[in-house]
Amino acid sequence: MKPTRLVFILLAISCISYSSYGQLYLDNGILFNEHRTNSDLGLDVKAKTSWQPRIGWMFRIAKSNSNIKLGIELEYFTRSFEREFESVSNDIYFTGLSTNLIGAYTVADRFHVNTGVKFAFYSSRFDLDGESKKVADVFNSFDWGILIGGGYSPLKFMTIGARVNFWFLPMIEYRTVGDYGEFSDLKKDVYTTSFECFLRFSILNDKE
Amino acid sequence: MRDFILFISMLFLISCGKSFDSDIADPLLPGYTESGNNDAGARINNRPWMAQRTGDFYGVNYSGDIFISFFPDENYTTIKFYSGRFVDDQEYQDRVSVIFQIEGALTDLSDIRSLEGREYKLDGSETVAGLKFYDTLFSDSLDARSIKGSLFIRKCKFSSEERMVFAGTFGFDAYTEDSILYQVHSGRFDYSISDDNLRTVVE
Repeated sequence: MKPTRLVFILLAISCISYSSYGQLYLDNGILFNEHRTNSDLGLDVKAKTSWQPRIGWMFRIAKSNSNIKLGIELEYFTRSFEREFESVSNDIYFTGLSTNLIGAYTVADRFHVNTGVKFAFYSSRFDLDGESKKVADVFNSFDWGILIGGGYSPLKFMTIGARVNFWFLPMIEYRTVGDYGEFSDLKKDVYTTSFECFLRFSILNDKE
Repeated sequence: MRDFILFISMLFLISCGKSFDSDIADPLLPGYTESGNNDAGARINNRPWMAQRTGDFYGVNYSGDIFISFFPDENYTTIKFYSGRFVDDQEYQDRVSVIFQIEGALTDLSDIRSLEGREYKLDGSETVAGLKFYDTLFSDSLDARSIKGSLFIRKCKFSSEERMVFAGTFGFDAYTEDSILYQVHSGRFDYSISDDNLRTVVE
């Protein structure tokens, strides 16, 4: 499915949700990215924190007092790696947007848990000794995963939440040229798991 | 005066090397591509070496370009990455050509097209590779000759009626007459070639 078509469908769902029992919210989060690597690239993949803003719609299904809600979100994220290569500094940056389709269940007054799927598109930048350079085509631009999380609402318009995101696709796929010109097998590298905590502000409340 | 400044500016721009698409595993070398990026790279005794077509003020600069020359008297064809430089050599002092001598005639693009998928063993029996320091354009002599290695011709694809993407990988060990070993490892090239890159050299 083309990204533009996906965005259009998601926007349509959002409009339907708002016209029923929808709620708009803004999340201000801190993201901890944990990357797993198994290659010899020498990337420094230790966990880093970054800011993660998010906007979302959530709506009840079936009846207005249901404990189940569905939602759609759009969030911004960054990831980055560093390495020293023969005394030359090398930084790789990724910037992307993720669309989340989520389901939430209210387990008790003010408490909810949620789960969902995430689809992300991202771009990459490759800096060598401070100079931005193109790199032969090795970076992926799409990732998808699932999320599990929950939240507590001390106030009607505010929620404190946390999530774990499990991403499934490698960020880098490459072959190396061996000493005598032979190709290595395709190497798939750098998988991401992220943990986030956020502060949510509900802007428009339910119609109920 | 304005023309003089413009001329100096253009010379400065020409003297600067073009950027290249880095290899993720070895960012000091161009990555292996098949899109006619007009560059070649390798590790020569672990120093990053590259050749790159640049063009100069008049559109002609042979350094860094590829030349495929048929020598009828010897009945071999040389594929030469002419006068490349070491990436860590800011003064561009050390110029080296990487050369392959292949048996038979390669005189037009259709001959080159037939090479796709071939692997040449660079053991010096039928096909030899080597280095030439401070090379001249039509020389076919080698300062160091290979005793081991391979040349893989991976892509020979017409991008238009007159141009072809010519890409591959290579690596070899070569000795000089003084038994100095040169290890040319992890080589790769990707050029857009035309008939201008092919010639027959009659000595």
